[in-house]
Amino acid sequence: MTGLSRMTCLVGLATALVLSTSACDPYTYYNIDVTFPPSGDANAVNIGKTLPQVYSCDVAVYASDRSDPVETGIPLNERTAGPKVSPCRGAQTPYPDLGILDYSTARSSGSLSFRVNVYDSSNAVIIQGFTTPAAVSPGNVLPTLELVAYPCGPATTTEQPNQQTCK
Amino acid sequence: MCLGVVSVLALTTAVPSWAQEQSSEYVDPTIVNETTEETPEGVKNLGAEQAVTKQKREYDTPPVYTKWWFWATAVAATAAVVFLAITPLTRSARGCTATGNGQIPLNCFGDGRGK
Repeated sequence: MTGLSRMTCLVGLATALVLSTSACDPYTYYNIDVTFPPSGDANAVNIGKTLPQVYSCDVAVYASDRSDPVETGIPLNERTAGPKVSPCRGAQTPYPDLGILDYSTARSSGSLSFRVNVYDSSNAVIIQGFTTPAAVSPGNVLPTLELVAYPCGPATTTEQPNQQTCK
Repeated sequence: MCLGVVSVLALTTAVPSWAQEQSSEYVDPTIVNETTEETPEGVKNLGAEQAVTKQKREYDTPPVYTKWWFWATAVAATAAVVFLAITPLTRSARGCTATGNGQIPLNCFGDGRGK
């Protein structure tokens, strides 16, 4: 084996190493699209009454193997081009598409689900929604999860008969 | 137990009869008596040139560890193992500057990303 061929062998080994490392992405990527129910829905958000109360919002992450959230307080950003801004800002809160989030996890198994909370100025939850659990799949970007956030309130009202009780 | 100890002592200290029958007087062959004309055994070649030949080992193919590329490969393999062991812990998750429609900057959160 000549010196040149040995050197070629070493370079090939290093290249294979780099390629194998770059091909092994340990993360699973979730895209979460947060929306309000459409205006015709029985549980639609009262744009004139509820949206002006919106003060802040965040996302929490739940894992299938834990009862408490894995992570909380994750901010959304508005689905617009340009600088990233929080969508939860009173009467200017976008409707019906609240915001989006990209989340990565290094977990190798199980599933994650997401919860969005929208708060009023007293930090009370006034709108809430959950995704269905989505299985972890390392190295992949999962299909966008649709999260519909419903207004909170008494179980039944004349105006919005199916309002949920938020925790 | 006492009987066992006695037996062991007896077996280990007893001298066999055939050993006692042989002449036990040792004669050093290098001792030269005045009456002896023969050169004592073991000193015959004293003074003669001793041909010390160190046999050099020869191989059909030299050992692989004498090659530079063997050690280079060993070092590279060791570095690779260390690198692969550490990389998954320090690797960053991919960035997320856009969704499917390509223009929307995203908040990126989760493992492998800066808070």
